Amino acid sequence: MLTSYKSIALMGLDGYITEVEVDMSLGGLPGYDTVGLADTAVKESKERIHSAIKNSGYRYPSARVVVNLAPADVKKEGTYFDLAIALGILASSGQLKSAIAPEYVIIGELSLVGKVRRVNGVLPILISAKQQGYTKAIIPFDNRGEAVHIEGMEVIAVESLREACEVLEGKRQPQIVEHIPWKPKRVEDDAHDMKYIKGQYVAKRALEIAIAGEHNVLFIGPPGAGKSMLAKAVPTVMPDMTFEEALETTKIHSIAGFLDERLGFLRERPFRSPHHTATPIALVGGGRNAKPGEVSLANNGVLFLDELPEYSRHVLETLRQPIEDGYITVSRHLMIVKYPCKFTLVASMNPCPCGNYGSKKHECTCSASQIHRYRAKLSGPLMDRIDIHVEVDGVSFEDLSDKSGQSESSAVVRARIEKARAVQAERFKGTDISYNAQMSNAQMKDYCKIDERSNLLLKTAFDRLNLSARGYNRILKVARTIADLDGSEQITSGHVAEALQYRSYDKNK
Amino acid sequence: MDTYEKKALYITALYGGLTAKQSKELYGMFSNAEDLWRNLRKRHAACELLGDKKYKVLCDNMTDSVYADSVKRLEREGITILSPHFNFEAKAFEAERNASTFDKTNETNRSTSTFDKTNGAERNANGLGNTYEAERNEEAIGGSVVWDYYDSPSVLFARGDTRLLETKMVAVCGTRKATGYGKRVAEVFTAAFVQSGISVLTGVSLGIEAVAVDVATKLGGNCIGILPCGFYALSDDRCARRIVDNGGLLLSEYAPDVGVMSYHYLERNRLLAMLADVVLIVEAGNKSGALSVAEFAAEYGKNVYAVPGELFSVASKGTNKLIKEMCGVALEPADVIRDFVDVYKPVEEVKNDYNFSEEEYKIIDALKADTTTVNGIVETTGIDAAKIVRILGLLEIGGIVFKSEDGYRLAVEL
Repeated sequence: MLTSYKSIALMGLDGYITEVEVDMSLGGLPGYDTVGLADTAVKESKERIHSAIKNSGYRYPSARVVVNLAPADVKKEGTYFDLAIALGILASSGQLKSAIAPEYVIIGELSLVGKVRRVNGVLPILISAKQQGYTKAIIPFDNRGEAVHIEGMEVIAVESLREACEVLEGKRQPQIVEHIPWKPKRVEDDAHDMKYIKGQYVAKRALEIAIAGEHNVLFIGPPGAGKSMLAKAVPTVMPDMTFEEALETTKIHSIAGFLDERLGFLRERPFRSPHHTATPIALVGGGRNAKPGEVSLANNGVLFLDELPEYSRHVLETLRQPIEDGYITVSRHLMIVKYPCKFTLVASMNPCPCGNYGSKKHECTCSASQIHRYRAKLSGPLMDRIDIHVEVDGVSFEDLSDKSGQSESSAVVRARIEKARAVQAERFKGTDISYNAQMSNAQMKDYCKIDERSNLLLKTAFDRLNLSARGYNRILKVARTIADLDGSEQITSGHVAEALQYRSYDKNK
Repeated sequence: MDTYEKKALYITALYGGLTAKQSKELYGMFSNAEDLWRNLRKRHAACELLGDKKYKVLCDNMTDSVYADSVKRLEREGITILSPHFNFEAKAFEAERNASTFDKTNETNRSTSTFDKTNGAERNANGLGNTYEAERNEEAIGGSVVWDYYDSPSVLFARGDTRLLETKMVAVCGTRKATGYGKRVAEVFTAAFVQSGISVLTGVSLGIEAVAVDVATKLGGNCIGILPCGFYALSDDRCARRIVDNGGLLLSEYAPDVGVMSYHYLERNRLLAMLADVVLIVEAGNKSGALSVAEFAAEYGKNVYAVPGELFSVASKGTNKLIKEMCGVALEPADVIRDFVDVYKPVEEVKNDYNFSEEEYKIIDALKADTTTVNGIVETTGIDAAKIVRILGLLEIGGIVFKSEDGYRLAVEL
């Protein structure tokens, strides 16, 4: 008998509805064949399904079974289809009599015992299914957290093959995933809140400017100065994610398999800090399954590169395109997957190999050429994308033990940032960019007009401080953000003067 | 130049690797250049003098074709060869050159205020110090002749304007790991030298010397550099290129294809002392190579000056020691310039009328109290960090403060 159920194949961030056709013929030698460009994991499902059916109290039919995953010219990967195939076999052998089964999109992996195991990517799967007009789905119980915020779908979570059958036959109450309306919930008193960072006023100010205008930041300072701490505080001052942003981010994490079952949907902006030994593939994505890389996992959040000169040049070079475009295409055999990767880059480095150059307390033991070479490592296209450079001073004992004085909390800083962002949203309405950092030269002519006084200032700075043309543009963009934070329509000389102090240190030859 | 002399000079310079003494002795063995050119192979005394290897190399290359190729390449690269055996036509231009650069540099550095003076912090103070007016002294120290020393080089490869060799020059030397203070001193002194028409001679290294080259070329002064390697081995040296692009002169004792070796630095330093009329060490640590220039200069009987630095600063330990032990102190550019011109008078001090606001004064006071970091100033004055950064930025552009590697410092007296 032939049964046909629906499942979904996932490619990148999108799911494609797959017809799972199961045909059983009683005459002839028993056998099991899967067709439709199934990969090894799918082909191996035969054994899983066999044991699962047996151990669920059903009979595995002695017949020739042919499973077709249509469309037959698209590669099928993953273990999503196990449940659908098993149900198809049961239906074809008459053990499952269900009229409603064909209406559901069925996904789940089977264990030998007959339990339905969790799979990656349930959220994007459900979104794709809904987009293609399917409103009913059966998913593994452990994946239910991903489905809670999707409205307009009936999603049933099953724990075992048996349960799935009984639910489909109407013999058992289904565990329907309840819809919970989306509400961004911020963790109060986050451990990385800004108020726990003592001193470092300049760095905090620079961060505020950076996040307001989505500029990338580089911290330069001795080891132990608190650069990592500052970086970790960044997600706490970023404005709350919108539903779309949370959805996008959760999708990506779901595919990568990083979603915690308890949390389901991601509420906080991601903070990724890959070690400097990471390979280019780990960073931008790829590999056998075209998995998203760190840059995509950091989408809508922060990518923190600690000790920037330690990363290989090759790795840094591969970062250039994602930062520039905001998405990354991972090409694989027969397939091109496009992941978004809009993130804020926060990088840190020491002033020199030993870390003490410029410190009044510790002597720098590096030779002049060592320092020169260390700083020269950071040149090129990546550095061009980092608009703000800040020096982070070392921490003195007095700073640490000072119990008095309260630093501003993240909430206060965030409020200011949100105001500045609102100004930018208004300014760039109707254009294809959202933040000051993304302005092109033409847009800068329109939005970054400066008065005569500021112009003179920049000119003098140009000569006296040995600026480059690139540096000029960056400073203007940052000045625009500073003016926005100041609530000022016009960029004044004060704004330019401040922006100048965050300029890149290629002045320091 | 007579062809045979030129040929012999070029080949011995490029392929010989001879010391001055060897070169002199070699020439002594022949009656004239033509004799050398034709008969080198036959003179076995030369083989004993030079050693087998060098002799063979020299003989193999003493051909017209090698000469023609070499000349072509050298001309393409703009390299000339100077030698004690042949005069070069520089002397006639000396007076003319000095006079013209003297006038030119005095004009370019008149203080130009580019924006209005209402805001004290935005004032464009000429952060480079006072301007000098120097009267020329006809009997002042003249250009050194580099061939007269017991350890003179045998040849010098040159790129650029060789007439500069006849000008009065100061060797500006210092550590490669310069502090903000040292760089500032180098800026001020070099600017003053340029204004007084004195050429600036450096070893074109990183740090102090790079600053001197930058300032000298920016102000249109005469700049001479001595390299520790041959010209082709220069690769991508920004400073060296600046010197040549701005009408300066680059010198090297080594054949163009000789790369840098560690012992070249000392050899180059002796040339600095040889060529200079006066030596100035701006900032040097205990073991800095710049100190060797001072030693050579003392040996050659030249005046040496050093600029003192903070007692506890590692970068100034060498210069401070020099002052204690042997050389003169330079507390302002006039101290060095006095050696060149008899009478000078600094132009009346431009007493800038700063109109600082109360907050600006608070910040300046903090800087005076040696609080160099912005975070420190925030804590001392209580002013908002953003505002402090803003004010310091304006002050920096106006030349009132400068940014060194450990924070901000005052550039002028307030």
